[in-house]
Amino acid sequence: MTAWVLPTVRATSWTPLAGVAVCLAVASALAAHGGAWPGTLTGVATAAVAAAVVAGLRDPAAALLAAVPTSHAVRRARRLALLLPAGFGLWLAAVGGPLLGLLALTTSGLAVAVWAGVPLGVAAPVLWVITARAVDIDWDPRPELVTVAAGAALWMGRNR
Amino acid sequence: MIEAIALTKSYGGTRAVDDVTLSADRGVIGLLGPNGAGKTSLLRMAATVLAPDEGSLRLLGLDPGRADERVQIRRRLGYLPQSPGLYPGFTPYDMVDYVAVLKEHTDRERRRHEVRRVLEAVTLQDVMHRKIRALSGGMKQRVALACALVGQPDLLVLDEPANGLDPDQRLGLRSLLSAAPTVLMATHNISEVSALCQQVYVMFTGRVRFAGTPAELAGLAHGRVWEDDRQDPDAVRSWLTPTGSYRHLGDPPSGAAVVDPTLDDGYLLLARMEHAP
Ligand SMILES: Nc1ncnc2c1ncn2[C@@H]1O[C@H](COP(=O)(O)OP(=O)(O)O)[C@@H](O)[C@H]1O
Ligand SMILES: [Mg+2]
Repeated sequence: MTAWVLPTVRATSWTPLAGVAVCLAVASALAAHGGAWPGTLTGVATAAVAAAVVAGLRDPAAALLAAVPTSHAVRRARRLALLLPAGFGLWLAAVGGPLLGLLALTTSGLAVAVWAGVPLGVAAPVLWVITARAVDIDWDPRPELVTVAAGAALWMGRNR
Repeated sequence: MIEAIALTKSYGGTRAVDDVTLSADRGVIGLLGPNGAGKTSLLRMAATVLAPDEGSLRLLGLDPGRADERVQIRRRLGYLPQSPGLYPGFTPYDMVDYVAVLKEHTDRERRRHEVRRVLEAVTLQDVMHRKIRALSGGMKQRVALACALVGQPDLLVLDEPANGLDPDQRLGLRSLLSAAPTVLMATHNISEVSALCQQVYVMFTGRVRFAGTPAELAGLAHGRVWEDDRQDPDAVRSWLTPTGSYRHLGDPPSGAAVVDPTLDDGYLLLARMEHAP
């Protein structure tokens, strides 16, 4: 196995994703009891998973590692290679359905994190879904378009 | 090794580093100055972490502004930031090993040797398999120092490396640093500078106000330090010494008992001139 995998797994912040997993498990159990997963909660659940993936990028040792030859971009990509499958797997197990909405929210959160810092990146998907519900609009109107745009922003900010 | 010309870095309206020119070849170069003087910002530029707004910077003969050359510099650089975070769930061995992986030490056996070498250099071999969260502040600082030492860097950039170390560990740090080719180090500890540094730079509010040898910095106070049994209100600074007499800085009155200045005297006088120009 490549030498970076194990320490990267251990250095990644898994607590947010684990917390969301527990919440989703409880919600799923309640939904099973009541008959079905309440449709209005899908957006919130999706945003929570997206936010937890972004929160996994938080790195307490960032300052110490800032001047190593393996760049920040590569280290972040390695974390995402672990966080994204875990987050998407969790979402498929607990919520299910087409992945595009989750992809749009996660990519947007990551783009915000890269340009404005991890805390704002975590807040972005949650704030968006809450706002959409408050003003009563669809939280994923054009997920493929959002994914492409956010993906482009993420790519442009990859070395930040 | 380090060639900085007219470096400038601003945050919003604050000029953290203002027109700094610095050149360092071999040996230990000390950076003194009060909090907020711009030492950390300057060191972050010297560690390729922060890009200067203006000026030119060359490290190890290479340009840190170019991505390819920056990687080459980083392969030969060790950096200890002012507040080095660590992973609390890692052991010192895990932490240093991870840094060695990121420093491209791919051969497992050689990496193991290197990790042990640096952990022994900072005398952490006895606790290297304990969780970092259970270590003392001084031990954590030495874990971070060990990370900077991985791969025997040609250039060490250290931001207050003696932070949290006890006197014995400070002494150990001295012998470590004299083994590296070029060290640029910010410190608040003036005795460290007199013991270690071939060159010293003193910064105030972003600017270099003194560059020279420690002896030259002490020499700034030549003929301007005197001792007397009574406190002289005209001195720019005065304090009671353990012998019971007062040590004064400033323009001595005629007939005063002028004494040899120390590095502290030179630094304090410089700081005084800075505040009351
Ligand atoms: N990231 C930052 N954002 C805004 N201001 C900063 C930042 N880093 C440093 N500064 C400001 O720049 C000045 C120099 O700070 P610093 O380089 O940390 O000095 P020192 O290490 O000598 O204490 C201070 O006024 C500080 O408040
Ligand atoms: Mg500082």
